[in-house]
Amino acid sequence: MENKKNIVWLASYPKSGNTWFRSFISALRNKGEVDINAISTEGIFSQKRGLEEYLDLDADEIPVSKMDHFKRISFNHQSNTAVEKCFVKIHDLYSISKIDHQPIVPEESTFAAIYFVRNPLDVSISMANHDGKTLDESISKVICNEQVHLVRFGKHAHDQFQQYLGSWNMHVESWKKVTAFPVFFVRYEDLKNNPQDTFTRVLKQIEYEATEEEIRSAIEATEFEKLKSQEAEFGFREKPKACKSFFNKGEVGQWKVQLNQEQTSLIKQFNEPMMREFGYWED
Amino acid sequence: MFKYFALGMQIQSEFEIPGLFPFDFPENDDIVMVEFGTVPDTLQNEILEVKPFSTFNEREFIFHIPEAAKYYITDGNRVLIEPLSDNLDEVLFYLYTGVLATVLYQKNILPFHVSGVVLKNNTVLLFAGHQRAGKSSTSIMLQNRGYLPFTDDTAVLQVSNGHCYATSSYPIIRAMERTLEKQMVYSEEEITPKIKEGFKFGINFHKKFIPEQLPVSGIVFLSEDGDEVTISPMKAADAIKLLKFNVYRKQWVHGMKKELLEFQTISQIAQSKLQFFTAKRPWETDSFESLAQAIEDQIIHQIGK
Repeated sequence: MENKKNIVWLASYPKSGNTWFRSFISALRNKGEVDINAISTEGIFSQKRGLEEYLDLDADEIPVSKMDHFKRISFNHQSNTAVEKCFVKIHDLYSISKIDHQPIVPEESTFAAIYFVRNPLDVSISMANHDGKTLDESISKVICNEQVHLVRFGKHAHDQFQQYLGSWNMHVESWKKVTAFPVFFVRYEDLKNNPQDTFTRVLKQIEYEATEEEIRSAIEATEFEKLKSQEAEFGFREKPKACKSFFNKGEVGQWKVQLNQEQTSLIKQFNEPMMREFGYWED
Repeated sequence: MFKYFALGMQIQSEFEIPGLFPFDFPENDDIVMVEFGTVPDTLQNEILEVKPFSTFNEREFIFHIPEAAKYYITDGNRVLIEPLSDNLDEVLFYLYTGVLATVLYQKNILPFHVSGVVLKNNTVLLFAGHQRAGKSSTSIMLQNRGYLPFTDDTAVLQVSNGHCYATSSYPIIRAMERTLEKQMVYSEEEITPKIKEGFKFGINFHKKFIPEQLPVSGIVFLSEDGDEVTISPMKAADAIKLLKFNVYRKQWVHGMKKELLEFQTISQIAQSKLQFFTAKRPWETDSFESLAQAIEDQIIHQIGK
């Protein structure tokens, strides 16, 4: 049976606008209404629960040698049974599985990917808040760390599978190299500075029909301060324990006042090619 | 022939099934036969749901785990297994965790996603929650405090004369390595990797297994929330939603047309003479010991004397 290509991957390094875009899609689908604790996109690539429901298995009891194969089977099923495009968040670096030597995501059910890219100098600040780390830790242990994973294999169970992240540069580059399906890159800074045009362009690229007014309404519903105030009032179930507030500041160019020269240089040293590619080098 | 008892069912097999509890019973009409054979390619009757590894209707179920085994379950009384691997432990593993639940569905009995321990008054306290909520870890920490295991991961709950009774599944507790490091009850010989390369380990408790139905004195719904362990009583009306969430393999309810059974079973349990609680713990495994302490102080001392 030929697979339906319904999946649109919402790919990004963490803290780059992924949750904002998921909220935007949710608002588009719900006539301009969004509840951050009921975002109506179709899950997260690393989440175990979806796989467990589709495959009728306990994810923690799948042999490692079958894990990546089973994940692809699960997403193929999700795509084949979907009545519209499935928006699935993914933080994994795009790679070939070390277990079965196939691409980590099922290309056969992929329509496209949207890759959210954000200046790593600002990402480092958001990530420090998100992880409850210092700026130096966020920079050395994540943004500039080629070996970093989200959710390490451990002795206790997590709701998510381990995700290989790598340094910011490696992550962006990995998705740049994809040829099996279209990957549409969108800069966080463009979403912030010119939301109507940027969201409209992205929707057009993935062939998602929405009127100008619907897009405007969804953008208004998902303004940063509105999402932040929802979190303040009701909490946000995706917020990590170490993080005081998931929606922290979301500003462009915070690094100019928060990072020192040494921190800026270190990030630039490790991430030059993609910083240049996306216009962050001369900022 | 080998004979076993699991989830209230008498199981007869032509080969040994080491994870089940051996139990002798006379010949009768209510036996589940487990055999090796060739699983058909499709169901005999109309297919109601097709999933990657499962195809089923009300009375037939084909479960196909690639490179492990195929299983054909029919009429709540027959399981045909076609191994696709030489690893019999893996082949039988899926029998314990999924196939037996399918047999129950076909028998019009819903299993629940619970673990539990036996209290001093010979009643059972059950722990319900999603995968990884900490059901097994909570049970093991209470076993460290002297309570006997009753069941792990699944149980059958049935109401009779207004009282809720539980029947255990099989004598294996599946636990993560971190939990095993803290357990003080089982020897190394009783602990084995559950499935090759898998994350969980199995603790065998055949010697402590209780096949008889026991009355349930309480169900504790586990969740991760907040900065400290908190226990709260819960009204039966509020427990209905959580009971529904904790039906084992609840994704089969619709495809097997068990909506009415689900409604009836949950209503009966909610109205029976047992107490419901919520137990919240911070999201870290170290909190299981304090959770067990809180459950003992605030629940067991109240209902389990």
